[in-house]
Amino acid sequence: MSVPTHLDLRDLTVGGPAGPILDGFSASLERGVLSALVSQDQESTRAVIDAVAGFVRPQHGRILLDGKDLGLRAPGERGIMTVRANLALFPHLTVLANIAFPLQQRGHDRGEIKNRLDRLAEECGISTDLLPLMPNALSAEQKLRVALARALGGEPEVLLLEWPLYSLAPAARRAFLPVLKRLHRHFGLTTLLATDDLAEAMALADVISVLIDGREAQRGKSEDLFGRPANAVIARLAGPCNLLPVEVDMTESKVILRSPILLAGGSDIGRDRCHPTLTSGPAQLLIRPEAVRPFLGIRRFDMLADGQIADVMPRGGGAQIRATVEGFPPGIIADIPLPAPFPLESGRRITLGWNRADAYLLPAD
Amino acid sequence: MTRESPRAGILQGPLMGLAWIAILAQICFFAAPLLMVLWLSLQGAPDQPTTMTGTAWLRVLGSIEARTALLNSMLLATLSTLITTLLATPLAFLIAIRRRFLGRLALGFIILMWFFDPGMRILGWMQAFKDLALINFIPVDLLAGFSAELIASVHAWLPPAALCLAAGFARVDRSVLDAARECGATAFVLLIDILWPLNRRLAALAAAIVFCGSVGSFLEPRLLGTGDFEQASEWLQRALESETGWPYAAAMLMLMLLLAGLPLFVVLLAKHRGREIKL
Repeated sequence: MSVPTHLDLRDLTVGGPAGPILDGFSASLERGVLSALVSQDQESTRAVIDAVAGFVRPQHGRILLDGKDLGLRAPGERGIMTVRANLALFPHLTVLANIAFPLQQRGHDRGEIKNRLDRLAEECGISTDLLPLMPNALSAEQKLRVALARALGGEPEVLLLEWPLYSLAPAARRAFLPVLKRLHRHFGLTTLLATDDLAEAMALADVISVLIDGREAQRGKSEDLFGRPANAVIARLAGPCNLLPVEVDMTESKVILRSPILLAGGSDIGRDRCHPTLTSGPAQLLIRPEAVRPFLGIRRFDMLADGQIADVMPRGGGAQIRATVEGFPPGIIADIPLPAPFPLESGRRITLGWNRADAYLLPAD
Repeated sequence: MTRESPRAGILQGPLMGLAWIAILAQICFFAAPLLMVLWLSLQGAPDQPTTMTGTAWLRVLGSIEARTALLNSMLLATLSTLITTLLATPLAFLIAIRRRFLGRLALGFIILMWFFDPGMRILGWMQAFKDLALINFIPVDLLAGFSAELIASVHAWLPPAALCLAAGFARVDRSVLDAARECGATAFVLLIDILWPLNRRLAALAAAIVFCGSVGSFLEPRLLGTGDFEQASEWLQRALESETGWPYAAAMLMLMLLLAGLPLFVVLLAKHRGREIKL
């Protein structure tokens, strides 16, 4: 059974001083689902958020909530709350007053406000001793919790998160992902997360849209974006990758690829491992570092490349190596589990291999 | 060895010498006339030779006319400040927050107001309402005496007060205002709960500008209809015009300066305080 569409964005175009920031963006958010909008450009994600929240009037397009056009409805009447990148806490109000603000505006009585406030503070992990403090006395993570509590206090139908982890350090960002996940599960709100970090979106969202130059470049689940990206930009956004230049010859039954980088000068690959718009000619072969292994003569690989170890970087329970390959200066990156079968030293010759099932052919840039 | 801060280089050498000379020149420029007036105010009046200093002060403070003029000025300044601030706040809100049609209209209104001398405006109104009787249902008394002076004062100080507040309102982070609107805050709540508390100092400064200006304003009541409302500045003028009155004028001027300085303390005291709510 399909989940009904809750928030429907149709052909949104938002203008800026130098042309459209957002160009014909459409998306359907299902009720209770966390969707992500990924872009390296904060302007375009902000344009979506501002248009949905009602702070910007789109030049073109419609925003429907439960089938009703939000059109000219004021921001406070849309049932939508936003957590901004700068968190936008009221600097002159205490944590308590910040969280209570939307409850007061909605006319709840004192007892009700107190009950809800206690619950919100507990659910968002805000200890009671923080409540009388001013926002500038809080850490970035505590401020984020307060911003989330305030947004949830507005009893929204839709929660918009605009680069919410922007103010946190990388380690704190990773640590906060489960908190966001838990809050989404607990409140079950339709949520739109705008972020620049595809990995973050993949960890949280059920459906992800990637915006490039104000246009939607790809929409799908995290495994689609990781394994079958629409272009090299999305492939890189999804995580470290090797993009090897190859020449493609497409036949009816299979796709033949040729490259001086590959041993034996080439290989072939199934049509299901090719981008739909791929045609014969130059292309890029995408292989993730975790699919690349050293060839020791025992295990069979579909594709092999000879190289020389240039860099070795310890990473978790293994090491990431970069091997320079003749004719391809960037080299090939491979994640090698430790202990390695041989010493990983710079300058050592190495043969790397991978299988067809782990590769994906993309059109050339 | 201590490390010098990068700024240290700028504050050394011949430029530093020039900077000090400029600062001293500024102090002299402002302080010298002030000290001269203070010295004058402590002199005895020429018509009553005496060696006791402060005679002029005693004469001024002892004069009912002078005290009334000072009180009148205080009253006018206080009322002007209250009314001007009340009117300037929504105008500043329109200019800084509602930047579209209404904001532009408010800004145009403010700029137009600044073009004409308040006294002339009052005279113009009087021509229209009283002498020409173009509109005869408005009480003409409003445009004479104290109320005329109050209107003129508000009219004169509304533009700087509104622009001062607008500058502060415009500085408030837009996303904070958006957050409040999203929470359901009305324009009034936005103004009272967000913009005013975030601009407490600037609001106090705007009020101080109006108060200082009004205390020293010189509006001729006779020109505006009646002569029964004398202000401190008019008393001062009369004192200066008399051959022996200059020490009294100096004493009155010092009193007016002290009065005008009062709101500056309010500005200094208007600290950024957090708001608590009790549940």
